[in-house]
Amino acid sequence: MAEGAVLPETAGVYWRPRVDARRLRVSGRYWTVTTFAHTVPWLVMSALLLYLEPLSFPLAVILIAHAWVIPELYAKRGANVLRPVRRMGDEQERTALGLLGDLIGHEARELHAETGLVIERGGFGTWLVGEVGAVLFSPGGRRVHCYCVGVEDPDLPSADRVAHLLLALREDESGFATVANQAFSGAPWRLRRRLPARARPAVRAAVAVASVDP
Amino acid sequence: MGVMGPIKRVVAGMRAYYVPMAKLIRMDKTGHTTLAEWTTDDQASVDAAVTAFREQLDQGYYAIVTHGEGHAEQVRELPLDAGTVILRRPIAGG
Repeated sequence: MAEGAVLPETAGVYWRPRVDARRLRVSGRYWTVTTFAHTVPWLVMSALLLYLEPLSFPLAVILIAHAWVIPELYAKRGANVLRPVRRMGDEQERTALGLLGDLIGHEARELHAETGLVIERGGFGTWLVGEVGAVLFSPGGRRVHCYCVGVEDPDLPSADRVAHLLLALREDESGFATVANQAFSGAPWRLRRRLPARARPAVRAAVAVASVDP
Repeated sequence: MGVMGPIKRVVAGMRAYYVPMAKLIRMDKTGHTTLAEWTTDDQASVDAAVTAFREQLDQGYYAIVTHGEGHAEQVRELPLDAGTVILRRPIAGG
């Protein structure tokens, strides 16, 4: 990542503080507390209802479903940042793929061919870059931060979309995370199970890389 | 000296032949488009590349020079010594 460079797009979100390692940690804790608040009270209430009146079990089931659904919806929102979008013609896709291939190393090229995602090591951890967003795996590989961000041109081939995000990330990692909207943060397994099967090997690879980070 | 003259001319010719052309590339709906190619030995190609570069910046593109895997830098003037300059559109949070 270029040091001292500032992504010009950050001017459009001047009110946001630049993301740094501390803000990422705070954000992760916030998401943990939020998930706790969306889950535990409902489970406790359902248990209490069943204890006080076993015949209230239909209501208890609804509460348990609520405790399950809300975190799942958040995880789904996180997984959406790695979803593929509409493909252009084969010729355009091939041409764009050639340029993207020149930007990344051999292993990243192989992973992209398999999953459509590009793995990139950064200062904050390991990134998986997709067409409409990117996921940051914190050092240690125990938390992901999902960011929804993209290029505003619907006619671009998929590899060009990835290349746009990859180049912006390489210019200014902190600025990239500042411009992007955070969609989810949590454990990698919560993200992985909501992803299409094709993308899951990329998550495994990113966790493996991040887990050897100090 | 009489022998070295022709040899030097041949070497110079080979060098001119093998000088890699720098490229100005725009990512667009075709995949990418090469807008200009230049070598510092050819002033006309440099001028054309600089003109094309400025036009694209005026249209809202950002120019990026990659420095190997993991590194990239935004440039506002055409770096004549760069191998490839890539033009990208702005990104935004979704």
